[in-house]
Amino acid sequence: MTTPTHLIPEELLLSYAAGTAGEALSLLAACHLTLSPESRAHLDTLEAVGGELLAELPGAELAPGSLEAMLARLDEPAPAPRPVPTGDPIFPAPLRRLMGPQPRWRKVWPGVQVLDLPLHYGPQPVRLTRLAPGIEIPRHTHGGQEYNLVLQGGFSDRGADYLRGDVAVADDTVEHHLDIHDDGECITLVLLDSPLVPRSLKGTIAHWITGI
Amino acid sequence: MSGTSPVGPKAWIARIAQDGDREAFAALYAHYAPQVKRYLMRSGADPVTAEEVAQDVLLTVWRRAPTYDPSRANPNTWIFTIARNRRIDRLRKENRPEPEATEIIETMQPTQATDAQVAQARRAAAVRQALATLPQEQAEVLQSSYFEGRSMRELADATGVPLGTIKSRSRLAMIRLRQVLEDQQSSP
Repeated sequence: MTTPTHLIPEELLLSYAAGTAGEALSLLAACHLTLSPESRAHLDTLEAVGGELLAELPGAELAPGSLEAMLARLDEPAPAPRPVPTGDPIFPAPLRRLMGPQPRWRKVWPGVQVLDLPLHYGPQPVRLTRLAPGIEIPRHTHGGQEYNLVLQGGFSDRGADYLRGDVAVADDTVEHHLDIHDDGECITLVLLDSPLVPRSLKGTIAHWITGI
Repeated sequence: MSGTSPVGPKAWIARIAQDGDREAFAALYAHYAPQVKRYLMRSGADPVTAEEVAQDVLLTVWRRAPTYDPSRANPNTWIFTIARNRRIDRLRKENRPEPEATEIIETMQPTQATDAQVAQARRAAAVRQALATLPQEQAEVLQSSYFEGRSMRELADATGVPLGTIKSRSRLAMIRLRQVLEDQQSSP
């Protein structure tokens, strides 16, 4: 099993480590980190930075009786740990938690199924896509930012191959099409903060029909 | 930091883990609660809420002490991650998605990895040293990212410094940190 080579951008990893990334970007980061030891090692360093910055903060004064109040809470019953969600392990746990036990995929185009998650990136729902082997996502650009994390199979984008754990990043400066590898179904987690902007006739028709 | 002497955060956490030692916990509380409270106030909590959440954080430390693994993270880092996650859960009312494999950094399995412990202590020292040598403007971007809960875009909007400049300061800070860490890893 190879490990991912297309890692999430450092800026995003920093905001995840600092805890300032929104929930959608945090989900993307958590799923990628599940699959990338290299990014996890980098996260460990960024969290160590957080730890040392915390240690350098001047302490705030505690309220009178703070310690006593604290000690009185030590015997509170601990909440039950969150169970690890069941489901297909190709989906990292934080994703399975959102998908629920019976995900309902929608067929939006021949060879394309989507599952909207109960989470938004900008105004758009975060979604999973299942793409049939060998199909092409027609040429398009973006109104904003796009992240595409591969969970199964793979695709080619601008001369590079993206496989499980890899993240493809694109924005309004990028015009591209994706070739889904023909060795199996490709499943990706997609964050797209505005609809795609088609750049081909086929894409325009698909966009018009699917609304994606 | 205490090194091998039996006081200091690591020893206190070990005593909490082994014996549920309340005296050790009181020492740990006195050491960390004021900093955690300040951290929460910097991210926008009022003092009363900040103290309440700081207590939640230290309560989590008390409960999870038996699973603390000093080879994965030093106490500063471990407590930072717990405080950060509580901040998100409580102040932003969001659930932080955690990676499947590192759902553990908070609830780690103990190991007997002394080499890893040494490496980890050296990393913390290198991070401290790197932070101390960062130019002021780069350190400010980092502190603001970590403490004020602001994205780089929000920071740019709030300070009037162009987003590109903020991003490049942050990038330079990261390059500097990585350099120091790599030097430290390659030294014998």
